[in-house]
Order: sequence, then structure tokens, then C-alpha cells
Amino acid sequence: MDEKDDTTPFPREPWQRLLDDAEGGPPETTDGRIRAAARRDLAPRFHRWWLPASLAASFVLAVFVVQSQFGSLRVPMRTESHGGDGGAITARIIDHEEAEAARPSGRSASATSGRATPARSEPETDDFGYEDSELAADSAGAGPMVGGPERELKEAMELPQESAAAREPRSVMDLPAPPPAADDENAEDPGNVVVTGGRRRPEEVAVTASRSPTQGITETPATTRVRPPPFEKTPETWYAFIEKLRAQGKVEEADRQLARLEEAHPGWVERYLQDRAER
Amino acid sequence: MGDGDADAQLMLRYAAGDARAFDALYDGHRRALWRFIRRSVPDAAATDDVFQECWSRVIAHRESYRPEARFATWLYRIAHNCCMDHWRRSSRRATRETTDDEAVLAAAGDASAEPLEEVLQGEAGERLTAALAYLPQEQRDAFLLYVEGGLSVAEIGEATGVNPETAKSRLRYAVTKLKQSLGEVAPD
Repeated sequence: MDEKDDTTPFPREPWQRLLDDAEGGPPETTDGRIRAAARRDLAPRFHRWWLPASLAASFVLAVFVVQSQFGSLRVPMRTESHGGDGGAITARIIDHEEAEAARPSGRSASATSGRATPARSEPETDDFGYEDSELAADSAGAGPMVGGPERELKEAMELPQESAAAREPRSVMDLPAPPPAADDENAEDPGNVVVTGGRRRPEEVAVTASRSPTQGITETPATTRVRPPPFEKTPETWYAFIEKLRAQGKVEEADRQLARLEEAHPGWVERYLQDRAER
Repeated sequence: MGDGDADAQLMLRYAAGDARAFDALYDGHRRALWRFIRRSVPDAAATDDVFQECWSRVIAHRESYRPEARFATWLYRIAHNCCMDHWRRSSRRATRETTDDEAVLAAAGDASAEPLEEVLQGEAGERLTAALAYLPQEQRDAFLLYVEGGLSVAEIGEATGVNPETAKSRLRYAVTKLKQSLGEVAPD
């Protein structure tokens, strides 16, 4: 064996001459087939026009299905959140107009707006008494299903806005509240207690959201009668709520509630302040 | 890559859409590749099928071809795989293949009884063809890849999936056996 190195262990040429004498090549038909296949593979593949078309159609169909599904799923969510927002926003606009009208002449608009700015800069859910986590929990269906102190506090922070926006028309907003005794009776009547859980039922939410500000309480079904705010049950809770409003910078609302408290319980505020000062 | 450079450039041109580059490539390798497959797959009809299958794979993989090695190495590796697939399908490889080189050489000596003696009476080329048919598959592939494909020992190992030392050993056994079979007409 002529082993020169690893690349050429022996000369190829003599063996190639022997092999060339012995064998020919592929038949012409095979040559033709292979050359045709090579050219066919280079040709543009117009016959696959349906592939992108079917992909596009599938995409459009998927988008349509998803939109239709999301549209049907988002109806109750929109009713609950947007309905509440709309009522609260209406109430806040009314408050702003009233503040403009009731603003003393010496007070500048910039001072008013400067004082109102922090309240406006707060998260919007805070205006309605919701906290972000609670709102998220309600939306996710993970909120508490029974009442309790948290529920009372939540309603105390929530209902003033609703009562201003939905329960009371603007013309009767400043009317004195009904006597607390009557409210207690209504509240203790089992037939008037509608919702005690942490989450309102969809039908009640829908009624609340769709109720126009000009509608009276009597137009609502009996099962959706709105109770007076819990903070009006007793003067103590009412006054605590007023202090909370002041702490939040809602001075106009606090003054308005204080006036209502004094009308509903004449002389109570003075006695209460005296008692607290003595203690 | 030597002359393989030209083949690699032709392949790249064909991958870019130049059909004439494929014609040049095909013309340069068709005879050698046909002989390699013809001697690996004795059946003429099967040779044609394997030959077309080999070029079909070349066409199908033209866009993924990378000139990391010589084109001939890539082409004969495809051809070798096509032959292996054919042997697996026909289940004939087990009767013609052994892995132990010494046993192969002994078996090849036993096999060269009377049919080869008859063939050796013919022309040198025909005698070489007959002697190749009696070689074990691995040795025949190594010899044909070296002589027909022009591959180096390392490239033979790469094409057949073995290390260069094994490829070199197979090549040495093949040449020894062929020289014994051809006698005085064997090349030096």
C-alpha cells in the first residue's frame, strides 16, 4: 500500500482509470428528472397562496371571537364600576358648583383650587371610599361576603357620594335628613335590609347605576330601597364621619354634613363637644 | 477547500436561485456519485432510486447548506446516508456487513471462491467491480469515497461517522483485499 500520509494513503488515479472503464453514469431519464426537480424547487410557490390567506382568516376569526366573548363578559363589570363612577362624578361636579357659589368673596379661586387639588390628586377610588385593594378584591370576586365593622366603615365612606349623586336629586340635596329614629326602624326592619354582604348583588348594582339623579326613591323597587347612611344612625357616628371628611380635606362636605347633623339633632354637637372637653 | 471551493460556490449560487449552477454541479459529480451508489447498492433499479433520493436531499437542503466543509464531503455524506437507509429498508445489509475488520477480511477471503475467479478472467475494470462487490460495506464505502469522491481520510471519517483512524484502517484493508483479488493487473 502506497501510504504517503493521512490525506492520500495511495494514489487515486490508477484506480479511477479502472473504474471509469468499468462503469458509466446515470441514465438520461434520471438526469432529466433531477434537473427538472432542481428547477421546480426554484420556481415561486404561487400554488401556496391559500396559506397566508387562511392564516389571515383564522386571525380575524379569532379576534372576532375574543371580542365577542370579552364584550359579553364585561357587561356586569362595566355596570358596577362605571355606574358608580358616573354617579360619584356627578355628585362631585355639584359639590364643586356649590362650592363656587358658596365661596366667600375674600377667598380666591386659586386658594380654593389649591385646597381642592390634594383631594383631586388622590386616587379616584378614594373619593368613593374604596381602596384599591378592596376594589380589586370586589372585581375579582374575592371580597368578604358578610357584613361587619369593615362593611360599616366602607358604607360610611361610600354612601355619601351615592346619596349625593343617585339617591337625592339636586333640588332636595340640602333637605334635612329624616329623623334617625325612623331610620333605625327602617334599618331594623328585616324587609328593608337588602344587602349585608361585602359585594352588592348585580341587580342592585344595575338599578343604582341606571338610576338618574332626578328619580326619587319611590320609583325604585322595594327590594332596592336605599337605607340612610349608617353614619346617620347615631350622632356619634355622624360626627365621626364629619371629622373624617375634614381630615380628608373635604371641608365643604363636612360643613354641609355638620349643618344637617345640627338640624337633625339640635344642640347635640355642643353637648358632645363639652363632654369631650370635660373628659 | 481546494476545488471544493468551486463546488461550494456553485451550491450557494443554486441556493440563491441560479439553476445553471446546479447543472454545473450535477455534471461534475453525477458519474462519480452514480458509481459510488452503484457499487454500494448492487441492484440497478435501487441504484437509480438512491441516486435520485440523494440529489433530492441536496435540492431540499439547498437553503440550509453552509460551506463549512467541502461540497463533496457533504454530498457523499448524503449519499452514504441514503445507501444506509436503503440497506435498512431492504434488510440486506446485515448479510453483507460485519464490523470487525479482521473477520471481514477472512470472510471476504472465503467468499472469493469460484464466482470471483470467473470474473477475474475478464477486463481489469470488470474484475475490480467484482472485487468491490465482495468487500464489506464499510471498506467498500471507504475505498469508493476515497477514489470516486476524492475525499481525504478525515473527510471519509466525517462522511461515514467514524474517526479518521477507523476510516484509514478500513481503507487499508480494502486496498489490500483488492490487490489480492486483482493480482498482476492491480495498480501499484
